[in-house]
Amino acid sequence: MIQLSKVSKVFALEAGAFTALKDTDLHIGRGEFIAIMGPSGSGKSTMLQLLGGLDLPSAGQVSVDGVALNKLNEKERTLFRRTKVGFVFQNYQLLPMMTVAENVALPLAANRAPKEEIKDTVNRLLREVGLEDKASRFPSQLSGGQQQRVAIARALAMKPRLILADEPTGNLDRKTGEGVLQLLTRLNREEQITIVMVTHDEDAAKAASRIIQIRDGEVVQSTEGVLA
Amino acid sequence: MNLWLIAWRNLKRRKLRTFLTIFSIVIGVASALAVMTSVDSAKRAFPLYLKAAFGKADFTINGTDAYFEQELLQDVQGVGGSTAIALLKENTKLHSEKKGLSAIQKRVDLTGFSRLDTDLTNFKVKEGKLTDGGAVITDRTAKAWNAKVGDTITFDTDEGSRTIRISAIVGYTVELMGPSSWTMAKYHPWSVAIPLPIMQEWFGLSGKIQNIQVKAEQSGDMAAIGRQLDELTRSHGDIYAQPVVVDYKTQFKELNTYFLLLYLAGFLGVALGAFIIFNTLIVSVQERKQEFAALKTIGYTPRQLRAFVLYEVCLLAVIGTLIGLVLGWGLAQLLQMVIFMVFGIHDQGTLDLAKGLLVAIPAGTIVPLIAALYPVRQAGKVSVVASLKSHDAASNGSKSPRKWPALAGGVLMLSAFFIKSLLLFVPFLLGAVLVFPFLFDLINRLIRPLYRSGLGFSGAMASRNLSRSRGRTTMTSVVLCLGIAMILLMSSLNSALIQSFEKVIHATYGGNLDVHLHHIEDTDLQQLREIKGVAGAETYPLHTAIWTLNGEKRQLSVYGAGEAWIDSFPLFTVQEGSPGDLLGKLRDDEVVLDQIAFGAWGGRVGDRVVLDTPEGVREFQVVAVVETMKNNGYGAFMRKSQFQKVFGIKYEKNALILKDESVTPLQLRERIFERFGSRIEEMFGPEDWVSVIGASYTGSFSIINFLVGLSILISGIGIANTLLMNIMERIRELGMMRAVGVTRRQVVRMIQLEGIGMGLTATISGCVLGTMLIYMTSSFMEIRSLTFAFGISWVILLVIFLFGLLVSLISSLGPAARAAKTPLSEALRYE
Repeated sequence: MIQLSKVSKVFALEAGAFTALKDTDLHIGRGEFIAIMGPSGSGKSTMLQLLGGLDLPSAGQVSVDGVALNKLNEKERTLFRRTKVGFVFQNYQLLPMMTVAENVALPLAANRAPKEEIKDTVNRLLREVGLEDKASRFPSQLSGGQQQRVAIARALAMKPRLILADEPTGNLDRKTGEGVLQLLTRLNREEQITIVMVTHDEDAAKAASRIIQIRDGEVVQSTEGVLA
Repeated sequence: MNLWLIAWRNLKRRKLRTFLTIFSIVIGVASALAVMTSVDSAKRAFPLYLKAAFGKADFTINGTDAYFEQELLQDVQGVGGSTAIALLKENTKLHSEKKGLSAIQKRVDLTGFSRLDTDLTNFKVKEGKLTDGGAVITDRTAKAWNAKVGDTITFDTDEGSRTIRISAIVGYTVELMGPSSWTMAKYHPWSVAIPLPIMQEWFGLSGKIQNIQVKAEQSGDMAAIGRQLDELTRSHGDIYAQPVVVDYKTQFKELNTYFLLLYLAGFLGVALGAFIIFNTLIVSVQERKQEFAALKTIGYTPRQLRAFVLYEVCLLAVIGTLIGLVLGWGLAQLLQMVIFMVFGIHDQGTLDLAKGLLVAIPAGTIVPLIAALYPVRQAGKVSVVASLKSHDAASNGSKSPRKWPALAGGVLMLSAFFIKSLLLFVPFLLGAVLVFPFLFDLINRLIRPLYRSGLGFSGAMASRNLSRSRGRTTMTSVVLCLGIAMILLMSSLNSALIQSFEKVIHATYGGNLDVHLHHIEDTDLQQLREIKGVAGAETYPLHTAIWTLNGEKRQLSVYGAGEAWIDSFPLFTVQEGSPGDLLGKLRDDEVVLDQIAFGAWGGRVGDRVVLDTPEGVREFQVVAVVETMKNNGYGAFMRKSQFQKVFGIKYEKNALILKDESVTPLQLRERIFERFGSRIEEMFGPEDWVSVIGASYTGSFSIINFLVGLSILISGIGIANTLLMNIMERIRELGMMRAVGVTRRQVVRMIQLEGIGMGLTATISGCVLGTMLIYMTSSFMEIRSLTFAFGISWVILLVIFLFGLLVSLISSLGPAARAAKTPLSEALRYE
């Protein structure tokens, strides 16, 4: 599903060039649940952004479902993200002035989906994440775990085959974090959604089928997870 | 630690915002300096100019007939302590081989001077000599004619061609006022001065003169000279002496109202600049709450934190003020030039910067510091716990605006309806600022359906965002709203005044054309009536009498009108009855005043007014007040027969013409010109007067509108600033939206629609408030005794509405592009 071939990413900083990823090769199969681990600044978030087409590599190629992302223009990459990828962020990134239902509907609205379809999808997703009774609440009225579940529901709105999660449990306590991981695991198992999750938390990483360790921009280890 | 350096670094962190904030201070300072300086200079220069231009002589002696004997000059020159010169004026035509010139373009006013080199003319010689016995022309005329000293000029007089050598070229002066080009010569004749004997010879007027100008050598001798001249003129019988009155107040009656409006426009610029600074700092403090919290944790006191922000304000203020002063200096020169041009002052004048600097420097420094007080206090009050815990600066915007300030605003606005002076602006605009958040909410709700259903995803998102950060958004919009309200008021005032003038001018012009001849001869009236297209003609005498108002000598134009013809050639309108009836009933010691003269006089109907006539000082009972725009609306009327008795002036200069349907105004003029040629000094119709008044008012209002336009520009900066702040605040949100598949175009459209939404609400509210201002001012405002009816031109409304929208659209382009360009990876990393 995902193929990274000789991917490098270099950032130009005032102090000089900083290489976030170096000649990285990586293959992620369909339906895998990958945890990417590594210390701060190791390049794991950069890798996630490259996978989602948020940024382009300085060298090498990132392909998702056989499509080379660097061959797509800006708009095509946006549409790729809209239809193929769901994002989950550490700090949820919900819009504070929108209700839970409206936040979940956001990608569908951007895609100009019919109102009925939006309504049905949002209801289904909120049911799926256990928040059907919170549809009309604002994010500020929810707990952190609930907000992250809204973010996951939003990530699922366009039925993506890939979810990219950046520290999804980073802002949550252990118990709530476990709930979110269970939800991701269920989506991976039951709906065969490929999940790539960046995390610092070793316990969280145990939910993955494979753990990739990155250090100084290089993949140093790839091990099967406990759930594999 | 160098706090200035830190402040500078902080300002550099947000370069665009810093630039826009400085720019708003620059505009405020520049408009304050420009308005104060140019108005101050004009106030100082106008009377001096009038004195220099029209007050060179202290007395003028005229005859009761068109000409009188030159011998009298010697008698006048015998009056001790004075200088005197004699003048003779005739109209003629320039002999020019230049192709494509019409006869009208060749008209020349020739003036013969008994001496050309006295203080009474005060010609400033640029080239040649005044005493060489040749013609004197101005440098403007020389340039247009391509003539130099030594060249000859020829005139086609009734007695044949006459040629004279140019002996001097002088600076532009009132005595030789003329056009600056052949094109302008269609509207004004050229002027040439020649020695008196040559003039008398050319026109067969040997020993005749028309006027003597007398100047006292020392101002202390004026009264004695006046008495001697009175005695002298009385002994001759057919001449009379009058003191020369420089009537500043009559000439510039409306100047103070106009200057007040200019001050208001300048004040608006400063106030709007203050709004922007307040706005910027509030956001800046909000944005850096976590920084301040962190500083507090390591031991910084609130006072030290306040100092951080205060240093930034000082830097912004100093930079903005310095640039503003330079720009303001240029703007002041431009403004002064336009004001002088509009009021027909042919003088460069010097810029008096003192008062301007006294206002502009505090406007750029103290005003921003005052505007910064609240935001600076907020910086000191940052809560460590709350700031370090919370990451979300944006609220869901569900709170409604507070009711009490709005209620107070409503009361202030209401109170303005009871103030019958321009001071009403203070409570009204203040009230509008307080009420505006409610208005904003209301209009926003009204446009929401359009945004949500008609403008797709971007519209729906923009509509939501408009309700967020309400304080900042409304504060920015109110600036545009006030600017729109002011520009609507000024434009409507301009158009309404011109319409009112037009109505009164046409109703009181006394026909379709006023022909001003050198003097009217016995057969002239008959000749005029015989011209094809002339339905009727009458002549009338006019004399500028002197009267004393509040201890100052002023001028008053007195007209003599025939009671038999005044109803067909109305020179004024009356409330009851007809002008003819009114004039017919006048006794010899009665007079009718027009509204403006009546207002300036300050008496009541039935009271007696004192006029200085050639027969000495006489009292007249004011029996009625009438309305006129003849002579700019400032005069008195009496019966023609009565006029001749009172003033003893036996000749007339003006003829009123009524045209029939067969000719156009232009054809009528051409036919009259064909018959009378160079004897015509001027032909002026009501439409000319309307265009002169219209141009003067439009010119005056253009300056005000330019300044208000600058304020609107500031509000545009405010919108751009606010949108930029919103974007920075929501950068992670925008990143997330882009991450979940919202296209760059959708983001751009969303930001643009936010800007347009702010502009739309501000423009709609501005139009509503502007309409209220028009209504209020129409209830009391009088210019030249004319009120204007409440009314709004839809064209003006539409143009201003579109202007408001355009400003907001343009203001949103930059922020939208910036939002679209933000790298996604950075936006999501942004903390």
